[in-house]
Amino acid sequence: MGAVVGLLVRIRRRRGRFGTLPGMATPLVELAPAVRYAALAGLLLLSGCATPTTPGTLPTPAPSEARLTPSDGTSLRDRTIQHPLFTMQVPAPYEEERGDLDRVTVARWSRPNPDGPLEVAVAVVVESSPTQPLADQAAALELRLREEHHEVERIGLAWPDAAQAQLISWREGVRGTGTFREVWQLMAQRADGTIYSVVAFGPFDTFDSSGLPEVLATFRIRP
Amino acid sequence: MTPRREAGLGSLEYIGLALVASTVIGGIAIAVAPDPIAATVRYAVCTITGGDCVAPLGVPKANADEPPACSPGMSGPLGATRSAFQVSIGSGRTALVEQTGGGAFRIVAPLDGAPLASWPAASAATSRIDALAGARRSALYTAGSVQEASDVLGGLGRQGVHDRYFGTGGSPVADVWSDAGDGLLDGLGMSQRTPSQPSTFTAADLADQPSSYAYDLALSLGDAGPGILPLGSAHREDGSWTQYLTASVPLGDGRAAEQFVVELERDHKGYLTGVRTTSAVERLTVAPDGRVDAVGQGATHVVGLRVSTAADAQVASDLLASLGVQQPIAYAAPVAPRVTTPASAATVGPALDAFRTAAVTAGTVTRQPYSPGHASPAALTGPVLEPDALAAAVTDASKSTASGELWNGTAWQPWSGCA
Repeated sequence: MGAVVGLLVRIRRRRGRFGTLPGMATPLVELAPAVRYAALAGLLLLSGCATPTTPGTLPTPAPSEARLTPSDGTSLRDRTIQHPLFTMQVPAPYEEERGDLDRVTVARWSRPNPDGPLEVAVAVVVESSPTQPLADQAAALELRLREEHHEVERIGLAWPDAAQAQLISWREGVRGTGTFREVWQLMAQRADGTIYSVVAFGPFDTFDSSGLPEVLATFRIRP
Repeated sequence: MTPRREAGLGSLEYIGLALVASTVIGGIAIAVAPDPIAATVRYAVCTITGGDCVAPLGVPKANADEPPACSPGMSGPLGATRSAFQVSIGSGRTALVEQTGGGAFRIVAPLDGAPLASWPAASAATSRIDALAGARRSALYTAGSVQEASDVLGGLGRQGVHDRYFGTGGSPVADVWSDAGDGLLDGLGMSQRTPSQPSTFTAADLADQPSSYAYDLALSLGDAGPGILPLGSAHREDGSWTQYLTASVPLGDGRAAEQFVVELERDHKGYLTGVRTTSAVERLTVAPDGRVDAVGQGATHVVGLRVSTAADAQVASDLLASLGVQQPIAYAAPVAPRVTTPASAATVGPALDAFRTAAVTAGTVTRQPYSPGHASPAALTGPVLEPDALAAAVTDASKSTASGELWNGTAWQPWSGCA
């Protein structure tokens, strides 16, 4: 397993108080969080500063034609991934990589490309005890992508056994090649809070015919 | 009234005049200006004339290739950590003090009360990177000597006491109260002030929001290709900043996978001014033709290259491309639109070697050998020193740890401190 992923094993979230900070102003009057949030919301409403480029935690309205809908994967009977937390069908030749981290498990299946780089793959990242809800993380992802000048679409979905689900998709240039990669990330949150992120990526030109959307559609949360 | 057909002529004439003037002035400036400035002028001219432009470099500051790098304000002294200490700064808070291989010191003071973490780019071995588990935000200071480090710690201690009892002002009454506190503490002999304008390190959101980094995690998994993840960034008062990434690279050719930190130095406009790598490899061998190879583990190497020429920019660009860095990078010097293979194990090795080779001739290469008393995470769980005990602790540690070394182009040389 990659050493980079290995270092994440040591991730430990530590809650720290906001103490007195060197060089930072300390407010003399501490407002209750609810008051602060209400004031902030009021300011935002008054200033009208909500813009399309500042994503909130709510996804953009679902388009009239859904890009991704669950399916039973009858065209992908080659191989069914039976994970304790999810199931998914992938083409049989796909190679598998897995990593278990603290609070996070990562598994990836990729089309073999012995003499070249990773091109077509789907990965599942499961965050078992998230400290931030799906909506916030999806919004953070969208914001980060927009800051990197990607064109992003984030839509709400209905997904089996998920309390909520969103699909974030974007296109990015593969540096130095003049080619583009399409990335779809399906985020689904189970009722107990577990967040699943199913990421599929492949060449933009052939993404639709790569089978990746079909693979994504077969993803199921184990109830 | 201006006839309709002549409307806008004034603007056209102005644009034409500006085009001619800027081209002439720009040409003269390019001819006489030093390289970094010429790069800026080239960019300015090419944006006007509609050429195929690249972004300009800011005038490079002392950073990646300045060996001792004792000057405060940058992301820290160049060189890996030689020894590390926890030092009390009052009110139950501690700062991390790291003596670097070049003799300078880095002080990390957490801003959010979280436990200390070893500084990512200075970790004795990159396998010990614990930045993700540490403070979300830290104030960074640098010092050229243990005395300067002690002064910084004294200032932090005073600041803590002051802020706790006298606040930091912000209103007329609070300002008076804060000023009164200053006077009182001065009267009590606590006259050391915190150096102003420290760098501020902010850890990446990866630890709190792993699901939002699912794509990055997917790319980082396994040995199929290089993986790169964000560690955080350090911002300075002048607007310049350093971006920290960690990478894991299977080098092939019998070499073990190499894990290292990549630092991208950017100026206040975001243009790349330098690249540094910190990696745990036993030795860098430099062939007569300047080719560099890295084998094994046992020392921490820091390789820095200031990006101020087209050749530097190309080397940096190739390295970042081979690592699969997704963030847009702006370069000053023109970077040829060379078609490269996407990030993969096959491309990163040569790109890394090319980067090191360029650094040998135009940048800085240092190493910090491991030794029994070397800095380790134990320093983060060991005893907390009082500030006045720091000097003695540094002296003791210096007896059991080797000092850093600097590659002078032909051989490794002892790296004298900057004190």
